[in-house]
Amino acid sequence: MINIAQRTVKYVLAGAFGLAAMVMAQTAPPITITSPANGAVVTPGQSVAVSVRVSSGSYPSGIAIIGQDPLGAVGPQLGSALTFNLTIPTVVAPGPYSVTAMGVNSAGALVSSTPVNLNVERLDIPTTLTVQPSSVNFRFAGDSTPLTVTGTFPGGMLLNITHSSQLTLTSANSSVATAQYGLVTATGPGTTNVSVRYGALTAQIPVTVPTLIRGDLNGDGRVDQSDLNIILAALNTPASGPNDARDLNHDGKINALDARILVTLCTNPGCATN
Amino acid sequence: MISPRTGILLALSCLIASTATAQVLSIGSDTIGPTGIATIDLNISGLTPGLTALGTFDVNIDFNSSVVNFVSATYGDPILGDQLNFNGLALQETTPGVGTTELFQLSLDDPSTLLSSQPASFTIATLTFDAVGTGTSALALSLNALGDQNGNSLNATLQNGSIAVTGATAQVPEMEATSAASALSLLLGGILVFRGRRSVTFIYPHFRWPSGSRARYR
Repeated sequence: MINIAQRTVKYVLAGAFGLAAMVMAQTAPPITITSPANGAVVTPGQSVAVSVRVSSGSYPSGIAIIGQDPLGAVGPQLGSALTFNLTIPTVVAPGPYSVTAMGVNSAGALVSSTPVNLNVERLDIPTTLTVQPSSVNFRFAGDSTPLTVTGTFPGGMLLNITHSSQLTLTSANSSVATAQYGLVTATGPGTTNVSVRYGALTAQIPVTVPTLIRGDLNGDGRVDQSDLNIILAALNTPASGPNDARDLNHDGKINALDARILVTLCTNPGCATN
Repeated sequence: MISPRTGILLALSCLIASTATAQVLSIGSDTIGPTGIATIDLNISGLTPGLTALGTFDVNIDFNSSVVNFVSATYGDPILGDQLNFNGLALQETTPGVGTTELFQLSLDDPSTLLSSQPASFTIATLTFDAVGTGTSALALSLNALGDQNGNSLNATLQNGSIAVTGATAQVPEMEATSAASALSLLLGGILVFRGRRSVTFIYPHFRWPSGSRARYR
C-alpha cells in the first residue's frame, strides 16, 4: 500500500530522474557517484561508503543520497567532494537496488546523478527454495508468466530471491519456453522444464505449451469468443515475440486485424461458444 | 514475348485495378454557432463489392478540445444501417480522451456476408461534438488498424475534416415552460451519459470486454 505523500515523492524523484537523463544527453551530469561502482555487491547490514563529486553548480541546501526502497536516504551534506555512509538494512530481499545523489541547485532545480545499482546479496545460503507457480501450463505460444522464488534462510527467515544475481533460470528446451529475469515465456508447443538454481539448491518447474489449432488461444480445442477475448485484452499492444499466438498476422502487434482474423477462424458463426 | 500493345493494356489494367481498390477513410466538416452541435460522418469509400469489404476499424480522431467537445458516436450508416453488423454480430467501443476519441468496431459476420452485402462506400459512424469555444478545430484521423473481411490491412488514404465554431450568437427562440423543462431533462440526461468516461456497446450480448484491455500500441 502506498500513501499519497509517498506517491508524490516517487513522482518527484521520477521527474528528477527524467530531468537527469535529459541533461546527460547533452553534458556530463554535475553530480556523480564515484564510488561504489555500478553493480557493486554489498551485504545486508553493511555500511557502504558512497562518494559523490560535484563538478558544477552550487547546491545551497546540500546533496543527499536517495536509495531505492528500502535502502533509505542519507544527507544532506555541503561541499564538492562528499562521502556518505549508507547502511543496508539487515532484512532485505537480495537483488539490485538503485542509489542516486540529488540536490537542489541555486536556481531551484532538482539535479540528480546517474543512478548506481548496488547488488545486495546475503552471505548465508537458504536451506530450501520455493517457486511459485510450481508448474506452468501456458494457454498459447507467446504467453508468459513471472516466477516468484522464495528462499528459507537460517532462522526460518523467508526472503524473495527472484531478483538475486545468484539466481539462475534455465530452460531445458528453448523452443518450448525461455526463462530469464524471473519470467518464463512460451515459445512453441511441447513440454519442458525450467531449472531454478540458487547456489547448490535447484528446483524444477514443469512447463507445458499446448499444440494449438490456429486461433485457439485458450487451448480448449475450439476457436470462439473466449479466444477473441484474449486478443481484445491485449489490443494495441506489441506481441511478446515472433511466436506470440495472438499475433495472428505476425506483424509484431496485437490489434483489430488479429481480432478479425480470429473471427474468420471461429468454430461457430459469430464466434459463438455453442 | 509481350508486345508493346499488350504491355500497355496490362499497365492500364493494373492502373485501373489499383485505382479501383484505393480506399479512403474520410471525416466530414461542419460550421456551427457558439451553442451549436456538429454532426460529423466518418466514411469509408473505395471498397469493391464482392472483392473487398470492411471487417474492422480502430481509428483515433484528434480535435482541439478548447474549441469542441466530443459528445457521442453512433455506429453504422444512418440510411443503409450498420454495414459491419448484418446479423446482430459486432463489437464496438468508443473511448473518449482529452482532445481525442477512439472508435473501434469489429464485425463478427463471416467474410461472405460482408462481401455480398457491403456497398463500395458508406458511413461507418456518426460523431457529435458541441462547441466550447470559438475558432476552428481540425478533425485529424489516425489509424490503429483498418482491416478487410479477412483481417488483411487496408492501406486507406485518410482525409481529415474540421469544425468551425463561429463567434456569432445564434437566435434563440423564446421557450415555453414545458419546453424549458424538456430541455433541462435532456441536458441532465446528457450530462449523466457524458459523465461515463467510456461508452461501450456490445451488440453481441455474450461478449465481455476484458479488464485492462485498452493499453495502447502507438
